[in-house]
Amino acid sequence: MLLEVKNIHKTFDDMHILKGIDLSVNKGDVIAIIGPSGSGKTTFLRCLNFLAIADEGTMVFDDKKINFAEKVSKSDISDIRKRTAFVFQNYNLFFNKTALQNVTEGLIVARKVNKDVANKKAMALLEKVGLADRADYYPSQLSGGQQQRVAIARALATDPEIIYFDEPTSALDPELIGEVLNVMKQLAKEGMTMIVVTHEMNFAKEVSSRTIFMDDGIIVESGESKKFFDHPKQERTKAFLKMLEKE
Amino acid sequence: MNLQVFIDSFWKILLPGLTVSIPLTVISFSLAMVIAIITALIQFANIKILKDLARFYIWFIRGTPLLVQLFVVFYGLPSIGITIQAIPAAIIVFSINEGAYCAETMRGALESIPKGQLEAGYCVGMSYIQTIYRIVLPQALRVAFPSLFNALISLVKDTSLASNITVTEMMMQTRMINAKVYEALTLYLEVALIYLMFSTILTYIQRWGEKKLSSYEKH
Repeated sequence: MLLEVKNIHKTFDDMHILKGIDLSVNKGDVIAIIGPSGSGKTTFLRCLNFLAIADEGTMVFDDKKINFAEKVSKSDISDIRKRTAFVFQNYNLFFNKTALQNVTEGLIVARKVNKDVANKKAMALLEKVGLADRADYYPSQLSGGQQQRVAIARALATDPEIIYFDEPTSALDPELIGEVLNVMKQLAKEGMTMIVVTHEMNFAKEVSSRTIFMDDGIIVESGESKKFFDHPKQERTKAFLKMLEKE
Repeated sequence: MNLQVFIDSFWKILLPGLTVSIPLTVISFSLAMVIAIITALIQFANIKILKDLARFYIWFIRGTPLLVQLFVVFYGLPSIGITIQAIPAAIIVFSINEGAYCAETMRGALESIPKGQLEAGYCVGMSYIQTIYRIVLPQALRVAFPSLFNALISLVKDTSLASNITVTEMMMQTRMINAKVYEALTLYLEVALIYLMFSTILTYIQRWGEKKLSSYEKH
C-alpha cells in the first residue's frame, strides 16, 4: 500500500465539506474521482497534499503516519510533498519562469540537483509532452493545453511516487483537451500512480483502474472502472451518470 | 528673466544636484526598498506582533509631514542627546518615510499574485521562503514597478526639503545664489528646470525597465 487515508473530515466556515473519506492506493493505481461540483472531490485531493489540512482522520503514506487530530508537523508535510506532485485545474505555472525553468525549479531549488542535470532531465520531459520546441517560452506565450502539458512535465520532474490531478482539463477549450488526456494516458500506461479528479467520463472509464463517485462529502460508490460504469449500484450514481449522458 | 544669471548659475546649481541630491535619492531609496520589502513581507506572511508594529510604523509615518519628520530628527533629537549630521539625518528620514509608502505598494502587489503560485511552489517541494523569494516576490516587484518608480521620482523632488536642515543640495544652493544676485524668478525656474530634467531621465529609465521586465507578459 502506497497511500491510505481513513475518515477524512474537513470543515470550511461551518460547511462540512468532507464527512469521512477512506481511500487506499496501491502503486500503479489510476483512480478517477467523479461527482457533481461541490461534492468535495477537489477539497479531498487538496487534503492529500496538505494544500488544505484535514480536521480529522489519518494518513499513512508509505512509512509515514499522520493523525490529523493533532497538529501536522511541517517536516512531515514537506517530506510527503517532495514525494508527490500536483497538477492544477488552472495550471499554476510560475509566470516569471520559462517552460524549462518551470520544470527545473523543483529540482534545482527544492532538491539541490545540479543545474545541467536538471536542464537535461527537463528537456527530456518537455520532449515527452511534445513541447521541447517551447522550452524558452513563458507561460503567457503558451496555449492552455501547452501550459497544462508543461505542468505535467513539471510534476514528473521530481520522480513523484504519486501524482494528483485536479480537474486537469476543465479549464481547457474543447479542442485542447485531447492533447492533455493523451499525455495522461501515456503516464497511466507507464505505471504511474495517479489520482485524478475529473469530469472526463471517457478517461475515467477507459484509463482509470478504479472510479470513485463522491457526493455531498462522502464516497457514494467506488469500484473497478469498467464495472462501475456498466453496472452502477447506487441510485445516486445512476442518476449522476444518466444526467451526464443527457448533456 | 535674466539669461546671464541663468547661464552663470547653471553649473553651480547642477553640481550639488549631482553630488548631493542624486546620491541622497539613490541611497535613501535603496534603503527604503529594503524597509518596504521587509515591512510588506511581514504583513503578507501574517507574523504576529511584528505585523502590528508594521501597521503602526506605516500609520505614523504616513500621517505626519515629511518636513516635520526632518525637523524632529535634525533639530529635535539633539535635545535628548542624539545628534545626527545633516546628510545622515536626511537619509534616515527619507528612507523611513519612503519605506512606509513603498511598503504599502509592495503589500498590495504581493496580495495581487494569485495564491496558486504559492501552492504550485509547495507542490514542487519548495518551502514558503523559497517560493516567496523565487516566485512571488519577483512577480510582485514587476507589478509594483511603475508605482515604485513614481515614488522614486517624488523622492528626487522631495530631497529639496533637506535644504531646511542645512543640507547644501540644489535648493539650498539656489537660495544662496539668490541671496547674492536677487533674481528669484530666474533662479527658481532654473532649479525647477533641473529637477524636471532629472525626472525626465528617470521616466526614460522607467520605460526601459518596464520593457526589460515585461518579457514574461503577454505579447
